[in-house]
Amino acid sequence: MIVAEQKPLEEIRRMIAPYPKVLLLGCGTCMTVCGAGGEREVSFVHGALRVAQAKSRNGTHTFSEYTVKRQCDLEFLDPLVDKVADIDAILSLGCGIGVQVAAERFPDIPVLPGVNTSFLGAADEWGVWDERCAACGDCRLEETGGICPITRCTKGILNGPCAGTKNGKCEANKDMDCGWVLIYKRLERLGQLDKMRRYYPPRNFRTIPRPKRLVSKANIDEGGGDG
Amino acid sequence: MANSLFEEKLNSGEFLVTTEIGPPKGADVSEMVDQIDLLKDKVDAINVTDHQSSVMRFPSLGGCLLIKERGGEPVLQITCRDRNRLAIQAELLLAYSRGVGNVLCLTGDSIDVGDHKEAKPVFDLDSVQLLKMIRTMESGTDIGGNELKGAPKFCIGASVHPEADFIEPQLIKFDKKVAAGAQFFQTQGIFDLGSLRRFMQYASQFSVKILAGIIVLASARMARYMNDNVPGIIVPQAIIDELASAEKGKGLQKGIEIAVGLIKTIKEENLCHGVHIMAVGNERIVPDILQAAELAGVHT
Amino acid sequence: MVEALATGKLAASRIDDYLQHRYPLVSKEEKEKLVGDLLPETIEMIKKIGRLEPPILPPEARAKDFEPVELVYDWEIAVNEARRCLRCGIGAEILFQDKCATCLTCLRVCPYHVPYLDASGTAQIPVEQCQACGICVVECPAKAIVLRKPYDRRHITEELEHIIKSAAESKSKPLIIAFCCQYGLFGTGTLASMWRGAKGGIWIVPVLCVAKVETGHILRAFEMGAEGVFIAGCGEQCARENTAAWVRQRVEKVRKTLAQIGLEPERLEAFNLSAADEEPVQALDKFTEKIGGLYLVSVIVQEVKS
Repeated sequence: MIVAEQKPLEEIRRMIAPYPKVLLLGCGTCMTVCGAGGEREVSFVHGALRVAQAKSRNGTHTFSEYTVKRQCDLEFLDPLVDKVADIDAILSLGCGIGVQVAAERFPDIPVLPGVNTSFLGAADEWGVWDERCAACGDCRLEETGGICPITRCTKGILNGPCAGTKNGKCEANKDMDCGWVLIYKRLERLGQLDKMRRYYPPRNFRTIPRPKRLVSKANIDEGGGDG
Repeated sequence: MANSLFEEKLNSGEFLVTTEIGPPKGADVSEMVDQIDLLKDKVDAINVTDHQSSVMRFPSLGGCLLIKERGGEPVLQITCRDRNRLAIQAELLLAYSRGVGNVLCLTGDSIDVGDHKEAKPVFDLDSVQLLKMIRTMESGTDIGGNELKGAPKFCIGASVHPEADFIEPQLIKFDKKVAAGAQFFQTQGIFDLGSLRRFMQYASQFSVKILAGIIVLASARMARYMNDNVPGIIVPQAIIDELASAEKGKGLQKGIEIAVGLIKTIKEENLCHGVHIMAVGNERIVPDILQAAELAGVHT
Repeated sequence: MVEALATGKLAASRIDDYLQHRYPLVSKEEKEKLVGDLLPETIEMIKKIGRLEPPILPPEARAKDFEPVELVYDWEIAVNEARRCLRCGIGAEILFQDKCATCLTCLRVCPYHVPYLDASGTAQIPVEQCQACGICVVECPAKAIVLRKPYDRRHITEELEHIIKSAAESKSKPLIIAFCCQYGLFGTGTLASMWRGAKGGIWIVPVLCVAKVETGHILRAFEMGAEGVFIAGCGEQCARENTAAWVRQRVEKVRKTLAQIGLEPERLEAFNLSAADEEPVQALDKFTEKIGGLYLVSVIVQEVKS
């Protein structure tokens, strides 16, 4: 799941300050799941902005709300066409992808980000999200018993651990488990410690240069194959 | 033929003594020059740390060049935290060209423990990959596969953590470092000779040289601080209590006593191949330690 | 018992139809089973509150006249008996499956382990198991869940708007809006003393369990001019599990937002009405005083500005 955190209200207020009519746009998929930008959070931000406006006594904003199923595909934004005719800005509570797709779809309206998109992760319990995947493009979970050394080791090293692990926790964040101790224990359990004994050469960071593109369709020559 | 003076010493079988100095946080190197002059003739080599604990400082290579200038034997420390493979290979070429022949290969403390917490951590490589990279350069190519015009040669080492509370993964890492080409190891601070003995039982199957890291503590407060904040350091409660028992103002004296005690035992029982003394700001007392441990005057 | 009442009501309406010469065609449809077998883990979490037998006249008194043997309950017992109501028929349902993102919040927050994922990975809330506490309704990030007879939720919003209107017309200051559990208020007799002791304009929005108060309700109260807001539940006496913890979660969230708006977080407070003694009233009085102080400060600041 893409996990994000709502921006602080002061920052949102500063961003919308120049725009009288603002549409608060929610997303019904990842942002709903992580509780940062679904329909309920859109209402919450709306309510909070109205309290702020009432308190400051000189507010001039009017707000409207709308939540689409996803903001990352243009087709989902079609219903908005009528709604934005009269709008000065969209505050999108979608992830960074959603904000950009909305901006592409409505290039004449400023689209402002209402959340800080943070990582790809999962929740073991309500309200606690942990990063799990770095989208590195070179997945090596087979070598490490299903535990990612890039996200769960703070240094992201491939020949771990470093000397900073104490009580199975990481030197940088004492609440976090040392990823390499977890990997050791998992491989031991699977009887595959020989995988940890291998030398792993430096990572191929070429999978990272931005913006990445993945083309899954075949390149078919339109003019006919043979001739 | 040895790649450096220190490598000759490694191969000589003598009890080795190295120490380290931390460069200044600024361009004023006068104190560091004094420390170099104080120590250069008393030890087999002097390490210059590389942004230790992720605190920005004058670079290790700069300190090593100063040591060379003043007639000492430097060990260049390189961490993987701040530079990518291009920058590190370039630095190695410069170091070799100026006669710096020893490199200690480290992964590096994480950015979060330092004083630039918002900096971008690089970690393009880790310590094992760095060791391997140097050996590759020595064979005449860089790790992009391109031929080098003038290949460097180094005596390379790494660190190891015999007092780690969960030793098995550390031993796997140690094996990898030996296989990657490390010739010597300077350990994290040793306080418990039992763990050193146990580690040496394992390590003696390899022909690498192990230098026990000896940290000179100055007070119980310093010991507790290091325990909580410095990665890789575990000071046992017994030592903290011993430091706490010292009279006011005599903490450093106590710390020296403890250090000398450890060094003497290591030397007498031949527990390992030498010691690496880390005075953490109190470099001026290193000669006193050497004197008290009867290691002075043997290392010019 | 419930089914008996239901069939009784049906019989009565059929008899009425017959007597009035109406003969509606009634199909024998299967009525949805609204109360069914509960899972063991659900049963474990349900508070076991025994029935309180009403006091009865002693035999000597009974022999004297034809007064009913059973005496009436007093306030406290009556309210506590009412608390035992299962409120079956107003359980939660996922009304908008298309909005549901299957985030599993309802599964994870339900103290009774009622919602589950079916074989196709769709979240389901079986109506015959639901204990109608309302927690998942408020926590659902997609607003996809409602209570079937949503009197409570609509009730809160309507009550709030009504009170805001009345409060605007009244001159009592400072304006404090209180979301209070009806069971707690009436059962412990706190209501009367709150009204008596109120130093400012305390306006009460009565709710059937504070677990139904949403952050949106609290924000609305502040938007419409409340100087202070408190939520008063029954604490341990609450017939539902975990409700106080959820009130605290929501209070913390709104407090954080208040601070970002430049309002003092202490303007929002959560109280426990279950202790049927002076304590809750004292706490409320202190709160009212504190809000009064903040109100006076803001008045002075306003006057200084102008």
